[in-house]
Amino acid sequence: MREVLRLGVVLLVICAVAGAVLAVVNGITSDRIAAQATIRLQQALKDVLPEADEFRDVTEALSFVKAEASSGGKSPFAIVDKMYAGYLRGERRGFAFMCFPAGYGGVIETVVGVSSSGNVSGVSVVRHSETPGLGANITGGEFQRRFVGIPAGTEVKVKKDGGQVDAITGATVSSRAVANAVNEALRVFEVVSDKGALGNEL
Amino acid sequence: MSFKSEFSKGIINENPTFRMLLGMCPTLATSLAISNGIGMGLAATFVLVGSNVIISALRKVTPEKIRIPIFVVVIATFVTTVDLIMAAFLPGLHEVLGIFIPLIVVNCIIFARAEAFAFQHGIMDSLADGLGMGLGWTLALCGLSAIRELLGTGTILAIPDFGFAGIRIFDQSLAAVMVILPPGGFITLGLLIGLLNWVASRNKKRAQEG
Repeated sequence: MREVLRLGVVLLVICAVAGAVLAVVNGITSDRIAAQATIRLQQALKDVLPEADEFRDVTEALSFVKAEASSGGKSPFAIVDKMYAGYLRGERRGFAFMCFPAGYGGVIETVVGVSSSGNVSGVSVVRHSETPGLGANITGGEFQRRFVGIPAGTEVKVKKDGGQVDAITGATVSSRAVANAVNEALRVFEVVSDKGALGNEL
Repeated sequence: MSFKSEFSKGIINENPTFRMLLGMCPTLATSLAISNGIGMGLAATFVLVGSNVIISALRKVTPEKIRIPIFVVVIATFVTTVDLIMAAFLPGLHEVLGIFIPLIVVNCIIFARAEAFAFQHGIMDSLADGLGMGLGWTLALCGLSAIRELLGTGTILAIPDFGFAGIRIFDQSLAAVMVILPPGGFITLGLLIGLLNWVASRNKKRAQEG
């Protein structure tokens, strides 16, 4: 009995020290990590919508679109999570969408830009946990450029599924996830640009 | 054993990949490009050295019966700390290596060295062992990656995180994609282990005859 108690106490002390170390490290780093995430997001927004230099979070309008889609019995746009309107000198140049499609190793945080003309202006992967060397190649500019110029109203798919985008060799699942994100971003864009009133409010 | 011999044994004689067959999962998963091998290898070496030193320092107060849960707590704490500090202060590096960090937690080389070495040896020896084993693993990964990257894609030294597509040695149409897929990983690793065993046994025979 004493032995069990002793072992328990030793383990408790070690776990408590480990917990304290983690708490301190988290306290020191969490603000900086959040700040880095903001910088990365701003950079990604600029990358996908290079025409704009100022972005406003208009996710409220997105919730409206989502609510209307699900009440109308249509698919509820589950992949697009946040919406940003991009401006240049006060004039809206397009939208950027933060999407969370399911990849091979988890969710792939993808930003998709759609210019006011209704074409994909850029795709950027902010964070992912795909296999290094295979799925991780979705971060490459060469793959991301394959989506640029696709017009709204198109069903975006990889070639293997009968679509127009070449998937990365050995990484169909990861490529398909990015294609799904672009596809849904374009569909949300269509809804938003159809609604003149909503569009003017933004 | 001296610091130097504890360091050098991990590189050839007790190489974790080719001689001890430790950490096969991350080896197969990440040996797809030389840049991956370097990234994964260095990140794991760092964690290995740190966890070896901490476990060696705690060995006198660690009861034999509960050493395994204690190793798990120490390694997980160390990996999480490294992850958070890297994300906060070296975001560029974290973006490149971040993907390997969850793989390090489940890397059994780290656990095996804690159990088989650091728990029984002093801090300096454990540090040397961690450095040597880490470097040995990095070299093994790079060797395996070089073969798989070349045969599987026709290029070498591609670094997608820096937008560098690599040096093309032969055309993509001649590349055997199978080599970078999991079956190719097993086959390449098996052939390489066989080759090294053959060289080792031949050297041994020669030494005996000579």
